[in-house]
Amino acid sequence: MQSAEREVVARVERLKVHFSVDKKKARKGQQGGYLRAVDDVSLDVRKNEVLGLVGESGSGKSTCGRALLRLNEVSGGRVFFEEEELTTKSRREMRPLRREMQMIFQDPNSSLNPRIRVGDAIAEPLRINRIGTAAEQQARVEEMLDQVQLPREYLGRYPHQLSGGQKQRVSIARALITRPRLLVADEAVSALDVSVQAQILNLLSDLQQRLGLTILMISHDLSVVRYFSDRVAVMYLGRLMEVGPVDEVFARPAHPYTRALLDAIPVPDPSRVNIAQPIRGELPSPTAPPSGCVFRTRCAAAIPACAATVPELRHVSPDHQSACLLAPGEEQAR
Amino acid sequence: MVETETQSPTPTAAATPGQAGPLLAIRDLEVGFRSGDDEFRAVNGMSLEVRPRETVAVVGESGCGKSLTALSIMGLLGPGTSLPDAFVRGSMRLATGDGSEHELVGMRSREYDRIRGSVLSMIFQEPMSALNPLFTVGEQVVEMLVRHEHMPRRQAWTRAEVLFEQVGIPEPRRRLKAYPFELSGGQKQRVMIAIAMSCNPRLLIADEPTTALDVTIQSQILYLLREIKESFETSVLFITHNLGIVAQFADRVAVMYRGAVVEFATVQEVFKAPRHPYTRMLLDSHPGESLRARAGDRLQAIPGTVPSITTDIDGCAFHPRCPYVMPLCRTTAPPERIDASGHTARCHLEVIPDAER
Amino acid sequence: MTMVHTVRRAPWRIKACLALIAAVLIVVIASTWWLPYGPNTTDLSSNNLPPALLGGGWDHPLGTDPLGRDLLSRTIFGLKVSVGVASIGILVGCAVGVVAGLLSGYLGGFVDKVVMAAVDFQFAVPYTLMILMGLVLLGTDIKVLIVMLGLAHWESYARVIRSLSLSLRVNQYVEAAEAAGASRWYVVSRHIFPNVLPTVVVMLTLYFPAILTLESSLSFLGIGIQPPTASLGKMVGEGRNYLITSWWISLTPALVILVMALVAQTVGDWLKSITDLPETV
Repeated sequence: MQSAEREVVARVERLKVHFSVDKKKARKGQQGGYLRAVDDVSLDVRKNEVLGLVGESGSGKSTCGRALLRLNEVSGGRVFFEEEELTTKSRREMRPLRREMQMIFQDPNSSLNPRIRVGDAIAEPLRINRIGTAAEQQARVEEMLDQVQLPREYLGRYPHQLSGGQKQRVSIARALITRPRLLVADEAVSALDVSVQAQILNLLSDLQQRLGLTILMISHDLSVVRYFSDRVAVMYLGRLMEVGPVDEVFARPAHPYTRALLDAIPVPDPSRVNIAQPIRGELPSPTAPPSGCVFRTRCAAAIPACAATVPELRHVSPDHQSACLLAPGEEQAR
Repeated sequence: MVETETQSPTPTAAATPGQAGPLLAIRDLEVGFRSGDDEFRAVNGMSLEVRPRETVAVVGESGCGKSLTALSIMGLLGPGTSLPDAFVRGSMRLATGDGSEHELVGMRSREYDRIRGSVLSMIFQEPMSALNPLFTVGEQVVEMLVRHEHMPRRQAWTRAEVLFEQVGIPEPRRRLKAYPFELSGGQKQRVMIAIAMSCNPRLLIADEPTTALDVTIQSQILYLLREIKESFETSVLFITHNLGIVAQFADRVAVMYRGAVVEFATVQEVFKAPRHPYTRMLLDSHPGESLRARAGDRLQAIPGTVPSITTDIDGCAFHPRCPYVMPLCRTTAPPERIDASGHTARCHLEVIPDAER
Repeated sequence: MTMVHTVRRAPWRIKACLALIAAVLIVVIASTWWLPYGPNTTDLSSNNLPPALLGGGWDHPLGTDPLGRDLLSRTIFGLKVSVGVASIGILVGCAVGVVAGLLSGYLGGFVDKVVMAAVDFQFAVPYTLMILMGLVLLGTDIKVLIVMLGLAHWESYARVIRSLSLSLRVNQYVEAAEAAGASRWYVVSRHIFPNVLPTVVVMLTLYFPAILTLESSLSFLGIGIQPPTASLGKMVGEGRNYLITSWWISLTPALVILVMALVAQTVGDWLKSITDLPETV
């Protein structure tokens, strides 16, 4: 596939986002001082693709997505948008770039200001960036409303009069109205019922094709990611575990964590009941991550070397990388 | 296939001879709220049964009434509870171990207090809602044992430690002294399971117990529940919207839509040969791997949204969204059709076109 | 449109209160042009007359005070002064508190620390003491009085608005606006302030009685409104020596204070209950 040579729309390089939680310990350099939400992650998002970013709570996937849009302060590393470095820009310099990259959020109830009508909410990015005259703005709002398949009469309604799915459609319309090149969907369908999820995913799929969007799809739900993404990146405790084309990663996971994650998903087929022991243990605290490979405390294939070095991403196949000291074959043999 | 057109047949033990009578038989349950002179029903004519040592899953989307059903079984609705305007009508017969049967609808709260915890037990989606933050988790288990089993306190503490070990809490003796806020989400769920199982209930109701948990922790809790089910020989009524859990965990499945059970059958039949259009569409809209949708296919979304419970719908509740709708569906509520194996479906159609998979 | 509708649906006692407030406003405004007698016109020949209902005759329906001044006119004038001073003062305090709370909540960091330190200080010091000191040092000019009265609860506004802004700030619609390139000023004025406004209005109505009674207390003690201007509290103070013989001189203004405070409280509670947002579908 040509995907490795495709143009890169956004990129993070050795990204670190650390929050200080205990100033005293942080100053002394002790464990427990910093919450390492994202710890040395390098990832690129290619033009016209849907990159799925998966992980459980504490993986840092949302923080990573926000850092890409510079909604979070970055503690280390660099963030690029179409080869322009964002990390060194001031607030004022960032402003014109913001219309090119937008986000849709998880909670339909808090994504919309309850006191602002739907039409005004959708128009807001245009107003903030002073794009177009009032008439042009109105026309674009109506066009977006059509694109997300909501009837025109909803323009005058308030959010509390809409259902969860409809609110998400409004959020999508708002995010896309400035014709951004990059869209980050942060758990955009997680709070919706299964049948509504399907509607919204279909809508996003259509919009992606029609508008030529590049999407970073952040989700904890692997089935959604598998359905919707071209490539997938798996995060655990702030680090990248595996990245590659979605079919390949799901069919032949190279990393023990990916494998455990896939095994843990209950298969909706009663003729395939899985009674195997699930992965043991719990997530370590993000303020005191294990040394070396952060997954080693729960990994069935861990060896002493896993505690000593942080594994780098190694190629398993041309576009598929995994951060494990053991090659897939070796690790299975254990 | 036997077709019965009466209003409230329930698959009885005659369907599978040799089994004991049902542990819990719900018939025409109505649960709703009064506001002034109006009332509206969130659960409207719901019937299902749970046999001993069986796991029944109740699947449905938000607003279908599954949580209210659970609360009404537990007697947590009505005057004196946090939902005082709620009413419960219909019949719910529970067979307690000693051969007697109790009618839960309208049962006095004193009797309910005796059954809750000892015969019936519940675990919730948010463990914090069941755990008192002011007491250690050990104390909360001990309290259950002392109240229902009349166990002396020292013995109760020992039993609590055993329970903690059974639910997979590491260092159980130390953990007995922990407060809920010191535990992780997965651990709190384990504690809740320990409390719920402490008095060997015959029926455990689980209301979305893993929805708020990470996938890996969810699989741990499901594995645990499976073990518990076996060792305690409990029946489980599992409420969820996750079809994967249903397939992995349940023996029989009840699909709910807008307050009624639209389909009730074994898990294999529901997944392989669904008889209600809603079930079929629910399965098709799921992006899971072994269902029809493959990567790249469009998901078969169910058009429209669930109409609000305050609007009345004539005829079949699903007809506005049903692709197989006929004129009859708009005027007459569909009967419950049962076939020889006890598979029920509330639909005017005998067979959905192209239903076999 | 919706405001009229809301009022129409309110319980009768709210309607009564609102009607009373409307009546007071009309009377107070009209009194700039017309009063039965001047508030300060003395008539020593008819001093300490009882109110009409107690036998005093209808020349002076509420009676007169020791200096022969008509109590009805004086009460109306006093009402105007007290309500006026309290209303303006409360807006001063509210403005200071709300701005402090917004800045503190939204900007956080150093600004937050400084503002909160000031708030904590204010909470710790008994305000009556502060106001007494202030008036002693700065004199009793009416403008000083208004400002000092108004600042009486600024720290409460600041704290409440701060926590409200903190919780509003994490709403995803705020993040969405920031992601679209909104300036901080835009976010505060378009998203935070309008959502804070209902709470502010309610706080205003709930604190109004407190300011009113504070002014009355100060005037009663003689350090608030200075003679010859009438204020309700002052009038109560003036009748102090006549409580046994001409008790109406103190009682009438005291009753008026009580009623105004009650009315403001009732309306404030009602406003609180109706500004809650409707539930989602």
